[in-house]
Amino acid sequence: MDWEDDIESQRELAAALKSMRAAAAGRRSSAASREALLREFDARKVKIMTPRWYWGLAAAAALVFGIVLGPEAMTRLHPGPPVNMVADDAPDADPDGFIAVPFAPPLADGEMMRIVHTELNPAALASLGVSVDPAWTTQLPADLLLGEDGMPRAVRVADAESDESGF
Amino acid sequence: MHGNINLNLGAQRSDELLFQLMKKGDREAFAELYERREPALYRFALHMTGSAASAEEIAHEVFVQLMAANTRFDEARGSLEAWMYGVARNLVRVHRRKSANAAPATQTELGYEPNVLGSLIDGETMTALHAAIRELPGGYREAVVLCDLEERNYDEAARLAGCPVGTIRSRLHRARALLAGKLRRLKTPVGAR
Repeated sequence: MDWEDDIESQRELAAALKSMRAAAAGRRSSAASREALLREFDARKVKIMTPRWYWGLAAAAALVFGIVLGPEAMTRLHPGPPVNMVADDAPDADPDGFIAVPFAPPLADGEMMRIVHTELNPAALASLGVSVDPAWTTQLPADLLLGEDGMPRAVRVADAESDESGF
Repeated sequence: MHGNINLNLGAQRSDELLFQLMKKGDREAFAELYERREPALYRFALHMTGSAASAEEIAHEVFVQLMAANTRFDEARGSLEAWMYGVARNLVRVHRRKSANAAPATQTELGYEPNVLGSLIDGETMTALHAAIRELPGGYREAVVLCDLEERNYDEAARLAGCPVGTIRSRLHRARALLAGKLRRLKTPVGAR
């Protein structure tokens, strides 16, 4: 009869599940896995602790920089005239005061150049390779040496009194 | 005199407390949590995947995720144990997707000693039952593993599976019927089917 078969198969299932339970009882991961996890835990704990040391180190470094560079910072609070903002030791400065724009493509032989007189903010000057005083915030008169493609090849911070009519 | 008995001797620190301590770098708390939860997680993964190697991998990964800095366990949303089973369940799903085309696990992969099983039930039935459990839909399989193999009650199983108690009951009933049917077919002579 079907219902008898059902009861019998349920009984067999219960016995089989019991066997599976018994076979799996007490089983777990290997000791090596446990040790690996504990090692990883220790490693992570070191990482967690490390930033505290970094903060201490950073504070000490800031203190040293403050002592060493403090006097220079004070002088920078009273900057000189804008013309002094061009680095005197700029390696590519020419006698006219132009300094090469870093990473600008070289000019081809015979390529025409033009000089444009304009005003640039300190950030723009810095991007063109000019050493800018951090205390300076206003626009500065500057001469740009442009190639035929309109790209700047050199820059010169001009005197404020220079001719502003352009070239 | 009874007042001198230390009633805290048998007190057990909760999983959640161990987790908090472990997050502060307490190695002993982590080890205690591992000793308490790893065996059941391992067996859960073993029964769900049918592979001893995968079970060890999954149990290991659960604890790796537990110690991760960005662990998303939220005590307000459930117990740590349920969270760990949730992680294990997801890892089992990933494992099954990866091994969908792989050969089914053998008893050797499961790591059971045949002579241990032989005293209780024949190896053929055991192999068939393993295969039948693995073929069950995920929810059914989980209900059988938690209730019949891990001997959890309905409430615990529902909490660990993240579903209502009624769902566990119905899944278990259906899963047992499917498994019994498969065992019955196994016992029926080929010509009589």
